[in-house]
Amino acid sequence: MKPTDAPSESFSRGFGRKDAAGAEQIQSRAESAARESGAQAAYNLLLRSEVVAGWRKPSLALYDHTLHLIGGGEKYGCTMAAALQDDFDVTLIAHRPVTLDRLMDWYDLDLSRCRVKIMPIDFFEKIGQGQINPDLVSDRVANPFLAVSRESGNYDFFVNNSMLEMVYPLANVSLFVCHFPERQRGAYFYAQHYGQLICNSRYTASWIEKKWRISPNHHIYPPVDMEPPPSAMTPKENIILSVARFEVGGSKQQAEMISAFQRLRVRDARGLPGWKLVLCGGSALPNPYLDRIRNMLRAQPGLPVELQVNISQGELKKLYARAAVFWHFCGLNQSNPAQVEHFGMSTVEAMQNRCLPVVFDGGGQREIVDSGISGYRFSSIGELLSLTLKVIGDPGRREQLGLAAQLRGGDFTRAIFSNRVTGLFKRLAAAYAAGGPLAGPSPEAEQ
Amino acid sequence: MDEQGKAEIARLKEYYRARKEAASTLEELAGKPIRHHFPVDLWQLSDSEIDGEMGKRLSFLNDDIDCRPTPDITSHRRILGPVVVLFKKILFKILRPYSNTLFTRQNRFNEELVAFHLATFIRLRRLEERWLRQEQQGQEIKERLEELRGNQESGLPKHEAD
Repeated sequence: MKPTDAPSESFSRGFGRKDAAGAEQIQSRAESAARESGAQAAYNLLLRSEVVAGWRKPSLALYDHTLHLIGGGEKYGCTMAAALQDDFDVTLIAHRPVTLDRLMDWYDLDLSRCRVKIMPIDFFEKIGQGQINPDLVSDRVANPFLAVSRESGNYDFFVNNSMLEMVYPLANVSLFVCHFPERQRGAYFYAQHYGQLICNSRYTASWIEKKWRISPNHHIYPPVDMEPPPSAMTPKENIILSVARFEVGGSKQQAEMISAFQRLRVRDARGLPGWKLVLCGGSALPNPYLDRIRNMLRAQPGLPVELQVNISQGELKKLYARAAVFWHFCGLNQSNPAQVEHFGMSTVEAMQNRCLPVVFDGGGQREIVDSGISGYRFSSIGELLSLTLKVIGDPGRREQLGLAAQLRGGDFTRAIFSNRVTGLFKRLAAAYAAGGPLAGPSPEAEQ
Repeated sequence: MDEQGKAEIARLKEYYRARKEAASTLEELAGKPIRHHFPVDLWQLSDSEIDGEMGKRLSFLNDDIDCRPTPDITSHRRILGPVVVLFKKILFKILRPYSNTLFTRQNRFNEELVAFHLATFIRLRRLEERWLRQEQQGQEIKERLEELRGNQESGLPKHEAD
C-alpha cells in the first residue's frame, strides 16, 4: 500500500479556523463531500475538523470478533489499546460480552481509560453457531459484518485486530492488523481498502503477499512480558517444558511430544534419570484431544510426564523459571501454512526465562531462535532427539545458550511493542490533526 | 466563537449521522462502487483449505437440490396489478403438476449426485488420513533405523559420541 491523497485534499485549508467563516467553510465542504461521496464522507470531514480545531483528541475503535476469548491476538490488540489510551479516546468493539476488568486481569494491563462496546451479531445465533466463525459467511448470504463497517464510520481511527477481512473500513484512518491471512481472497474481501496493514512477523507478511497480493506497511512483533525480576531467577531443574494450548485438532502436537520423550529415554543410555516432560496449556471443555493425551499417560504410569491444564499466570511463571529446556512442535509435518506457528509467543516467554528453546524450524520461530546461538531449531523428530540429548549432556553449553536466549527474548518486550505502536500512531495522529493528506490504500490495491 | 463553531459542527454531525444510517448499502456509505467478491483460486489452496472449500461447495449443492421454481409473483402495474398477479398465480398452479414431473426427476438426480460427491469426499479424507499416518510411521522407522545404525557404529549412545 502506498500513501495517497485523501479524497478531498483541499478541505484541510478551513480546518484550523475557529471563526464563523471557518464554520461556514466546513459546512459548504461537508455539503460538497456529501454530494460527491455520500453522507459518510461528510460525517468523516466533520469528525476530522473537530480534531484539527483541537476540540478533542481523536477517537479510535479497536475491533476484535474474539475479544471475549483469551488469546495471543487479543493480547496484541489490548496491549495496543493500553499504549494508545492516553492519546486517543479508545473504544474496544466486541460481539460477545466481555468486561474491561476481565481483559485487564487476563493480560495484566491497565485499560482503565478505554471503554467496551458490545455489538451482538444475529447471523451466527440464528444458524445455531456458538462461535463467530467467518468461514460460514459466503456470497450467498448478506454480509453479517456490515454492522461493524457502519460502526467503524463513527470514529476517527479504526483498527481491525481481527484479521477479519470482511469488515470494510469507513473511518478516516483505518488499520488492519493481520496475525495470519487465514482465508483466501473470496466473499466480502476488503483487506485492501485499509490505509495501513500491520503484520506480526515476516512469516505472516510473506503469506499476506502470497494469498492476498497486498504488502504490509508495518511489521510489529507481538508483546511478550514473561521476563522475571532478577530476584525470581532460580537454579534450573531437569524439566523439558511445553507451553501450548491443547487444540482440539492437535495442531500443537502434545501427543507427538510424549512419543518423542519416550524415544529420548530409550536413546539415552541411562534413561534420562531425573528428567521430566511437563505439558502445560489451556483447554476448553470438552476436549477429545486432551482426553487422548490423558489416556496415553494413563497407559504408561511410569513415564515422567506431567500435565498442567489451565494453570494460573503465577504458576506458569514459576514453571518457566524452573524449566531448563523448552520444546515447541507446532508446524511439524504440516502442509497448511496456517498450522505453522505465525510467531511463537510461548517460545519467547521461555527464552526470557533462560529456558533453552528447541523448536520446530518453520514459521515465525525462524525469526526468534537463531539456531546454535540462542537455542536450536529442528526439522524432524530424529534431529530434535539429537539436539535435546546434546544440551542435556552438556550443562555448560545449556547455560551459555540459555543466557543468549534470554538476551534475544529481551527484543520482544511489551515496552518495545508499546514504543513502536505509539510511534506509529503518533505519526498518523499528527498527520490527521494537521489536516493534510492521509495515507490510504493504493489505487491498484483497491481493485 | 469556539462554542458556536462546536455547536454548529455537532448539529451537522447529527444531520449526516442520520443520513448515513439511512444508507442501505456499503456502496452508498463508501460513496463509490465496491468489489465484494473474488473468485477463489482453487490451485492456490493448501490441502486443508481445499478440504474446507469442498465441504462448503458440497453444502451449497445440498442447499440447491430442490430446483423447483418458487417465483415471487409481482406486478408493477398500478391498477391492473392485482389482476395480473392473480392470473399468474392461477397459471402457475395449473402448470405446476406438469413442471413438477420434470423437476422431480431432476431433483432425484441432484440428490444422488450430492450423495455420490459426499461419499467421494469422505473416502478421500479417510485415504488421506491413512496415507499421512503411514508417511509418519515411515519417517519414524527411518529415524529409528538411523539411530540404531549410529549406535552400532559408535558403540555409544549418540550424545556421548558427540
